[in-house]
Amino acid sequence: MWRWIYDYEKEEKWLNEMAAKGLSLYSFFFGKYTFEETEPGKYIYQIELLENLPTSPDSVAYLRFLEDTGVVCVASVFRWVYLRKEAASGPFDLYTDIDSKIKRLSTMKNLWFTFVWLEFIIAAANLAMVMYGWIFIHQMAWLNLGCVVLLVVLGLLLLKLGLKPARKIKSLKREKLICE
Amino acid sequence: MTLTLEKSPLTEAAYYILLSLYEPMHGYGIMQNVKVLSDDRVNLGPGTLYGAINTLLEKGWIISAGESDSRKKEYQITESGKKAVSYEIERLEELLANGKKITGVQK
Repeated sequence: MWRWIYDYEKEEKWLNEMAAKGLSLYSFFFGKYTFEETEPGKYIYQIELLENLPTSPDSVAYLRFLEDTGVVCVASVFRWVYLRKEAASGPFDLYTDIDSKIKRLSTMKNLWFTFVWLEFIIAAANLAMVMYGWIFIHQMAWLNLGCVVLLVVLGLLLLKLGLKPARKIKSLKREKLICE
Repeated sequence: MTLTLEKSPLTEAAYYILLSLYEPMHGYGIMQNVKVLSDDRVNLGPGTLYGAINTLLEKGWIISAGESDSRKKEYQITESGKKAVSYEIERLEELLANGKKITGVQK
């Protein structure tokens, strides 16, 4: 099944709804979801952003550790991994205290904001090229302007994605002043 | 510096992990043990547990004690880890005593 979901929380929710119906994700590759038929609600899914690529020693150690606790990685795209656990063995929350939740959200925030900066820098460079007339051929100028618009739109979308964890971090930090 | 670190309050997760590791245990064993110890109240998420284990290893409060038969990595508490636990117990006792004294709640 092909789908493109840019918000991982919505994606996670959708995967769990599918699993509840008896369709469990077992592979994913750039928008192509492959499901297997299982008993309804057999698995719970979580999507996690690793700090390193899944092939790095740190990530391998982490994924092996997760496997020991019954959590299996079914697919990965760059640093994102799709994890599942059998629902019968209890709830599936990777993070159960405020500190580790904040750490996880920061990793996400940093990822999105890095892209936001990149987009805006490239957009600004494009705009500069048009403004200073480096490119005299009109068609090329339009192409550049098109790029600018596209990059700004994409940048704003990424900004929206980045602001979500940023807001959550803020509220968690406030909570942390009185709770663990 | 290490002394002040040993005396700073432990998180609930760190405290229960350290207690579990008076016997060598692997990750999943710790999760189960903490659940039993706390009468189902504390459920350690594997991500949280992994982070905590690495921090405790860095501090030298626990060490890697080889692999069990099932090839799972096992950990064990060290002397400085035990020291941290005993400071924590002292601290908790103080909290408890003051709480009881002021509120009159006895249990």
